[in-house]
Amino acid sequence: MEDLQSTFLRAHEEHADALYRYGIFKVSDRELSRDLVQECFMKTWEYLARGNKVDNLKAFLYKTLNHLVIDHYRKKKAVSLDQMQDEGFDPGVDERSSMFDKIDGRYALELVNKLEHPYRDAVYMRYVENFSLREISDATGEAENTIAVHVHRGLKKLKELYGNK
Amino acid sequence: METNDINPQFNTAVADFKKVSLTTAEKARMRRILMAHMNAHPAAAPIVSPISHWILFATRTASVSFVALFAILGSSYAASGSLPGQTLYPIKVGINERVESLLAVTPEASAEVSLKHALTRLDEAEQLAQTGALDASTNATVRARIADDVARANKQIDSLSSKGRGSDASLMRDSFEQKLDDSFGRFVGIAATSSSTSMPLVADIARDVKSRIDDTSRKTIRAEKAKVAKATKTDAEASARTARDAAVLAIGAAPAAESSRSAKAAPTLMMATAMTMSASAPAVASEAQKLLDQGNKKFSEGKFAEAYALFKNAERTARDEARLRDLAPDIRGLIEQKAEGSHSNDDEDDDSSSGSGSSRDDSHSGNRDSRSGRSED
Repeated sequence: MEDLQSTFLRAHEEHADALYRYGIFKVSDRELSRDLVQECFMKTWEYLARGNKVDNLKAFLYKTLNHLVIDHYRKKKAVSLDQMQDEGFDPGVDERSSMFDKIDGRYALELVNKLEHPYRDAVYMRYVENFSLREISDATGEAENTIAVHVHRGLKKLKELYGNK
Repeated sequence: METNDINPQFNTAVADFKKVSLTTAEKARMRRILMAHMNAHPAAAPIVSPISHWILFATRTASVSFVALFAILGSSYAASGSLPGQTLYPIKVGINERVESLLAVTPEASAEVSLKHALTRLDEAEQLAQTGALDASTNATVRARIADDVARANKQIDSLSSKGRGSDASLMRDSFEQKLDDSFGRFVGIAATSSSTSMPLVADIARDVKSRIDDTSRKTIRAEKAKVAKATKTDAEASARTARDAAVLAIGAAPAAESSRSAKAAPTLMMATAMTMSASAPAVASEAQKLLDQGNKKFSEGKFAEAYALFKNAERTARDEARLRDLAPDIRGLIEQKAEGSHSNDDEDDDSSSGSGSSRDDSHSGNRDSRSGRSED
């Protein structure tokens, strides 16, 4: 039991930053990304505490974070902008643009973010976080061969986008 | 395709992006919250389903069973070559041979297994004697086990005989007798060449084996006599048929009076032979007894090789005597019976030969008619 806690805290130490960046990449919001990462670790712990087994904890954390991001967008979609504004929400400027303006290499990452869904995560995980195909496969639930195709096509599209820039 | 194909700046941009991270304070706060959450939701003991329990139990049981099976088979195999006085010998006789006996369900199979075990004991004694490892203890073990195995085999063989399978029983005893003979011969050889310390022990076993041979020999000789009697009866009948046919031929050949005389002479010759054989039977028996006495004398003197040779000679002679004794009366009776018939036919032969010079076939068939006609009278 103690070993599981130690292992999990060590995983938090090792992967929290990368998950945080992935969260930023997905939701373009530092605060939101931090909260999602926090929730991601808590939910993963609950899963482990119930006695479930996880072969690749890193991939599982990314998968969980992905689900949380999807949940976040679903919730966000369900609430109309008018309603949110009535509740005091001020959308302000485009968060994504403002975020990338703040970091170096923003153009490149902006282009990655412009890739279509299956290619975006594949290219990001492969070339930003240096995941192996197997790890991407574990994190996304897709077959390794499919991931390889996604990475290849995503990179090709990225090159086209870069050329048009 | 690599990212450098897009633009070298991409990699630089990625490297820069990777510098984005949580601050130390943010990370520490997240960690504190996480630890509190972990304490609030402690990890439960792993839940194992009943099926998993069963699979685990089955796997462990199968593993233990396989190990035990291999251990038993290994020990059993190793024990198969052990000798009296060795650690694995009790496994050999207590488990291996016991299982073998239990697997033999028919009396015939049981007898064969018992005989095989008896011969195994002899082989063991032979190996012990050859290596000089035959001491008083192993000697007693071997002798006791030989006695048990032979008694068991005899019981099963008797059971076979009582069930009307005397021929099978006889064959089995013959085979065992032969094998015991071989063993005894080997023992004699060992006794003649072994050291002085083990020689008396070998002699003990040799005497045991000899007594078994005597015992089984008696039974074998009875079976042999039955076989010989049957064979000699068949032979005698064949001889009688030959004599009758010769007589018939002789009678049928009217012009060949000489043949007729030969046919008449044949029974007389055979009768004489039978009488001679019958008379010689006691002499042969006496010779067998004489050889047996000589063998016993040599045996008591410790001259086992010579004793063995004399015993075998005596046995052969005794068998000959039995054969002669059984053979003679049967042949004599048959020949006497046929001789009477030949004499009767001889009278008719004389008549027919003096009548006409018909062909042999005609006179043959005519003679049969005349015989049958007389028998009807």
